[in-house]
Amino acid sequence: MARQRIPATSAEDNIWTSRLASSLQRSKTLEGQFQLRPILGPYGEYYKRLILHIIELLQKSKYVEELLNDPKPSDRTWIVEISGASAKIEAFLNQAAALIVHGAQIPRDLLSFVGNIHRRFWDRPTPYLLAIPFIGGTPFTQDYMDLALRPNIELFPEPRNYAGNKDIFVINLSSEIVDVPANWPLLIHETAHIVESREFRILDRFYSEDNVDSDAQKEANWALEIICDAIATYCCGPIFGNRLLRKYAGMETRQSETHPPLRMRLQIISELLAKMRWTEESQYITTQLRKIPYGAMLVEASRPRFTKDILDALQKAIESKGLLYELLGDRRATINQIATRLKEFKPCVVVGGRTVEILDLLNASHYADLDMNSKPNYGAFQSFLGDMIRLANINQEMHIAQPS
Amino acid sequence: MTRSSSYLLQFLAALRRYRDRPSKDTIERFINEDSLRFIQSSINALDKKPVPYNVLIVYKKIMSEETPIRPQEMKDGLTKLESLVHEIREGERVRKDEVDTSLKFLTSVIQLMDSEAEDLGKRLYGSSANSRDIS
Repeated sequence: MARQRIPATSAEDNIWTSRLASSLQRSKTLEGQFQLRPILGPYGEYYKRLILHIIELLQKSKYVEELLNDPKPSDRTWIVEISGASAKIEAFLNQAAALIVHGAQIPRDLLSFVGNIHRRFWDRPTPYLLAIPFIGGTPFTQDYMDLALRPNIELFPEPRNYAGNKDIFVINLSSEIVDVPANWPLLIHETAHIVESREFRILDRFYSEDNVDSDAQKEANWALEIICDAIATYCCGPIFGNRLLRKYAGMETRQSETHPPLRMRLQIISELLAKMRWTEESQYITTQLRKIPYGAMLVEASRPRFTKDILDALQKAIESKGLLYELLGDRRATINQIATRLKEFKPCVVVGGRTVEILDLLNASHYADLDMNSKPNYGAFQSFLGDMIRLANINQEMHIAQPS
Repeated sequence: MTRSSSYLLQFLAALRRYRDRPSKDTIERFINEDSLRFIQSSINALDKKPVPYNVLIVYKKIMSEETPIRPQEMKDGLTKLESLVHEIREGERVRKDEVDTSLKFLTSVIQLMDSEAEDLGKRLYGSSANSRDIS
């Protein structure tokens, strides 16, 4: 005679409680990994402490304890709730762990470069990490707390309350960007995303968060990208536009919901450069754009309605912080001198008797990169450029530490 | 799994406990201003009123009637849920069958919200790194 099945009453007896218990167990494994492995970057320790504390709160959660100790496998609502809780913990652990792996291969020079640019924009920077989640593809920035971490702990009262005011961004890179220091200036735009969302908030002045359709949202998305291009251009000069043109011209295949067509972006950048007295550089971008066959770039679309007002407001905000990088004095001559030295693999720490400013170095690096691109020692050139960027960063940090 | 299902799970957790032991504190423990705002925005989205895009896009499929649940059915369920929670928070006594109805609604839609969220993720971030837009 078959034995009558006894209804599940403890964690060992049903799949739902077992699954939740196993998720908690996995959190202990991850805790160990976080304690053992360093997370690179100025906010690596912050991220580590954040995750370890959330894990601790999940492990001690009264809510989780209740789910485990009061199983109701005959109640459909309990099954949906405990399954959801397990899935949320698993998703949180996956998101938290991803950065251990994706952040492990970031070169220190790159960390120092992004740190320098970030500090330039803001005295009290928002926490961020760099990650390399893919080999090819374009960089992008995520509000990691809001998009990846918080959604998965919203259900658990204790971790949710703790994480309520925490912030962390992730700048995602591909190895093709990481390995070529000449392309690092593309990351200025990514840093600008963080600064715009937490510091300038220019977009909020012109666009409501609420929309009725995807067209309105597309316009707001495009405006945001134009803002970040403009921050990069106003603060760092032609280098961002030059690298954008060099790396991505002719690669678009369809109109995007999130980014304006490249032709529009570069035309706006060119106009900003002309206003900042970089007339030759502005003209160069316009000329290059004309050379690209129309079929290779998307048909021109209308600019977002408030583009001019947005750019004016941004210029004021940047000028008030003393961050506008205009063409003044003998800056162009300095940049040319640095470019020549870079091509000759000569140190660029001091040029013409003056310590090289990192923005001048970056702007020079583009011209050197164009010339060196077809040379057999291009790889060595990139390595040399990375060294020069690091030295310029060190110089700047020493200057901050010991102001004259 | 994204935020929309998290918010609905918060309501499920709160109402399931309230059903067993009616107390306003049970509701306050799980439901916060963010989850209430999400429900309100969801109702507005289904009413074709302006809402944040991340809410709008969650309901895109439901509104184009590509899912088993009808937009009106979804809106009615969310409206009942919202008023039920408000009544409880304001200290009013609510009927047990009303709680049961909302719990049944939540049980049926949480999985649906997860599949919607998966599509949303693909739309926002691309299904592969190489198909991403230029940053």
